[in-house]
Amino acid sequence: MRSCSLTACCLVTAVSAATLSACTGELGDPYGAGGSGGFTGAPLDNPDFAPAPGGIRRLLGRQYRNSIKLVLGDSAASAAAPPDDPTLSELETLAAADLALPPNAIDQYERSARAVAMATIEDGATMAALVPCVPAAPDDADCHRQVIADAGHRLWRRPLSSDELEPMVAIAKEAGSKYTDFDMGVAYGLIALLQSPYFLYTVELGAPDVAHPGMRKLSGSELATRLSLFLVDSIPDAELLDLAEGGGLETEDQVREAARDLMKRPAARKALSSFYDVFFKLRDLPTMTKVAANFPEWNEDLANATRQESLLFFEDIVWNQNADYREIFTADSTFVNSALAGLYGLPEGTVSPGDGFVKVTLPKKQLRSGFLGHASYLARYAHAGDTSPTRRGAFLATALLCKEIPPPPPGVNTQFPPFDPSKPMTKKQYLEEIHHKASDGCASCHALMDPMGYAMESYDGIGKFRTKDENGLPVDPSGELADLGAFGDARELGQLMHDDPHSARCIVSNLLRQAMGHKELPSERPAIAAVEDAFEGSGFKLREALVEIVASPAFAYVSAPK
Amino acid sequence: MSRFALHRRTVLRGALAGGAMATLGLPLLESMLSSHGTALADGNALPQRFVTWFFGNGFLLPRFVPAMTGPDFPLSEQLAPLAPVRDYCSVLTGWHNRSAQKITHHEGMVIFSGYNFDRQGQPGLYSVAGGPTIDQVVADAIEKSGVTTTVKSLQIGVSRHLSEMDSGTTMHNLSHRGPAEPLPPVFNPQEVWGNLFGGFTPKDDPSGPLRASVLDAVKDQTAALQKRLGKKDSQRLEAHLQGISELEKKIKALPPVCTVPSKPDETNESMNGPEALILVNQIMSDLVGYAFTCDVTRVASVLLVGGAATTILYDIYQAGEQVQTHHLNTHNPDPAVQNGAVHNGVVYQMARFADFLATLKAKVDPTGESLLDNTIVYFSSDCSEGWNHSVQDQPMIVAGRGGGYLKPQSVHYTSNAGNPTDVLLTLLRKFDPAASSVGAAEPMSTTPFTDILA
Repeated sequence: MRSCSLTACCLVTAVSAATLSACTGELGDPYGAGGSGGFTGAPLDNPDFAPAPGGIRRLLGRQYRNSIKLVLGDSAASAAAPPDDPTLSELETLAAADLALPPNAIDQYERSARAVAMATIEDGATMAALVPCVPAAPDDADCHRQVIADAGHRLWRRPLSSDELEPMVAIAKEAGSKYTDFDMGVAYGLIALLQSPYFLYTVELGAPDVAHPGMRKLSGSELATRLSLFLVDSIPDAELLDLAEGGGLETEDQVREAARDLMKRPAARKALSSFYDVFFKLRDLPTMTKVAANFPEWNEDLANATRQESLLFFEDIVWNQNADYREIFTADSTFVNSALAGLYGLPEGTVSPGDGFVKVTLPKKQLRSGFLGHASYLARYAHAGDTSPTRRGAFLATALLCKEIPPPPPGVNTQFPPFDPSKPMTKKQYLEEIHHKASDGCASCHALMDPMGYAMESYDGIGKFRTKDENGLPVDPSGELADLGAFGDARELGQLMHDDPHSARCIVSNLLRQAMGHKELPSERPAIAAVEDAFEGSGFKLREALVEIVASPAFAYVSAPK
Repeated sequence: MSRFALHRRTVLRGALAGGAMATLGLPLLESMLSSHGTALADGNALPQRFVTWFFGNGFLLPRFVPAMTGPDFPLSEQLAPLAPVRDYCSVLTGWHNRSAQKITHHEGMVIFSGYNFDRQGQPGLYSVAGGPTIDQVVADAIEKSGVTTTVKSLQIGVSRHLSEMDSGTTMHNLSHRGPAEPLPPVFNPQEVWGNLFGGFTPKDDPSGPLRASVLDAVKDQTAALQKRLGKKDSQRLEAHLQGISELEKKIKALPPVCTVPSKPDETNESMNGPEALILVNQIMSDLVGYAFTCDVTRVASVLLVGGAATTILYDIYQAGEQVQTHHLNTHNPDPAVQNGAVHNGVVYQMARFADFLATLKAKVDPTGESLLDNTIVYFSSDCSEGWNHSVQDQPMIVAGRGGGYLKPQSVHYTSNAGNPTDVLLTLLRKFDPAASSVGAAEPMSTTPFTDILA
């Protein structure tokens, strides 16, 4: 049996020490005041900086729906049925930038376009806004041209060339004439616009920047689209598109201002919630199977409540309190409804069934430490009938600290020794036995995950506090990590994660992936370091991280497509 | 009596009740058959179909491998469900999957392609396919031979609970066209029905030509955009264009002249609690059968339960018995669990494969032959035994006769560590007689396994 060498399993972090030395700029505003000619900040002039190659990214399903709603109205949006979004490395945006559409998806987009178009022409108010002219006949080319040019400009986020426009005008004319109905012509114009790659994909190619050879600056509308999709999950509205096309989105400060405007909208809260929902896999909770004999309380309502709790919690920290993001590791308060109050053992009457969610402080003796104490996380990263220190620990290590854990070594023995009923063991004792004393090289990698999961043994497979495990043995929530150090329980672990610089950098890194659809390249480091510094300088306000991400040259520039 | 037996009877009754047919016209094959009944009137051979079929987490080899080799071997305990279709099934044991890398479970999928998976420099449990799976190579070969079906290939999934052990695409999809082109299984029978039978437009409907004109415009836009992109994105748009051309074929196709099943009621949406695996598998099997008899497609893949998936096989448990995901059961060292829930789970899933084969067997071509006579079905899992994820001795089953291409009898073949891709190459040659290899690098084959040929 081969063993896994230490080097193969050694801890690799997304943020290397070498790159930290690159961030020599001052905290606060790393770009200076900004000039009228465009982006001027230090990372752009750093010879080590190069942005990621330009290319295309597919709109996510919710972005597709929201964009249709924005341009064609509510009833059109409810007819939209885009294909499902796959994920890569737990993010839909990475898959949207990397994977090709399967034939089924092309089929679904066509069906969806037809349904959206038919719903649109039934919607009088929308049609009044879409059709600025009075058609002389069902095949009135001039009027069709105006409709397609206007709607196309909004949907494609740029004016259409006449080469692009005329074939669609011809289709609209033909349809109007065949059905003797001008509106059917409009419908076919929309069907074409909505299936176009210029609607379904963002095109982020930019144009060469004379001041920075080798770099391409995104056009105003490309940048507006990237900004709007990231912050509010929709293509830009008319106002933002006008601003961008009028040259109002050229400097870092103009981008910051536009971002702050977008972030005032409820859609910004929703977009960030969707990120957490997908990346932390909270959306799986309602369909998680739990063994009823072990967890009789678990049902779809409770599952939904746990998901809702965490989304409200993140929303509160970021949007209501504008607090230090790292409170997700340490907060002693959270949001509960009556079902959750029962699960968390809060006194009767804390919340009534009709109250919905209320903010409460959790009992100290339960050791719940921010998100680490949420039933959502504790249930999602557990087995159907049981806890899983490894899964819970792996999530904390990879999703919240951006540690990279290699796969199990080949030939590893997964036939674990059976429990000896005469010698009952806690999970911690058992895992230490099989992972850490074993000779097949499991220990080096499991040492990155399991200890964090030991702290979570204070909670059962759906997040209920306990001091004794399912075998009646006392839980020992202490553990030790090579880098973070020793902790006595979940609260101490939460504090260590809060204080670890990797936790703040990790959320920046994942938001960058969400924003741009690629994992950070070494050549982007100087710009990313500046975002990290600004985030730290703001007191770890996540809103500031969002603003600095979109104002970064890593966001506004691309290299030639590869 | 176990819950499984009760459930199965109820389900089959339900499936029959829901099977109302709408006959649109003469069966395609009868109307097009030559007077000899052995070929189509235009001189072409009868349609030949290809299926890959999968369930995850392997077998228990001592209870799977038949006690004797050669023809007339006795079915083992885990092969017993195949009894009603055994004349059509050959079992292959002793082949060693040549995947060069291991991630646990991922390597087993190489048995469907002959390509090493690609980790793309990513950490953890991430991989994508290294090349096309064999069903897609066969679909391309059928297309290249001049045969156009309205749907080039069909991907079906039954259990929606997917693998927890993949941050990439390898485990979630049985069909891939390349590293960036997984073809996701469709889990909703209504959607499968819609893809196969729902998209046809009557001849005099003006929407058909208009939809085709729209696609022409979209193709021009896509080709123009493609020129401005790098290699990776250009390839993605190539796949997009391929999807458009498949949709064009569908829009221009005439409705199939055959017995079309009515739209199923089942949407397979229930995930919280027991999934209706027996019922959904049966409906999907019926849809594949109709798609083949109507010649809407000739290639399908079926992913019953994913490798390392969180599926619980509820039907194998007695009321009140402790349930667990099949994957975790396979890792349970307790011999009582291995010989209980794991064994029962394998038998249960093998019974679903048998349901699929029996459905095809029951459908008769106008020649009087069973669909299975003119189909090849290739079956495997993602490992030989779940507890250690080993891919040595990874078993395969080859079912159907491929229009006389395969031996007309049930044989247990054994190998001393042969390359399973040899089997893929053999099957591919039915559709592309000139094929010289399948796969690349370690798992590649240039040497077909000819023992299975008639």
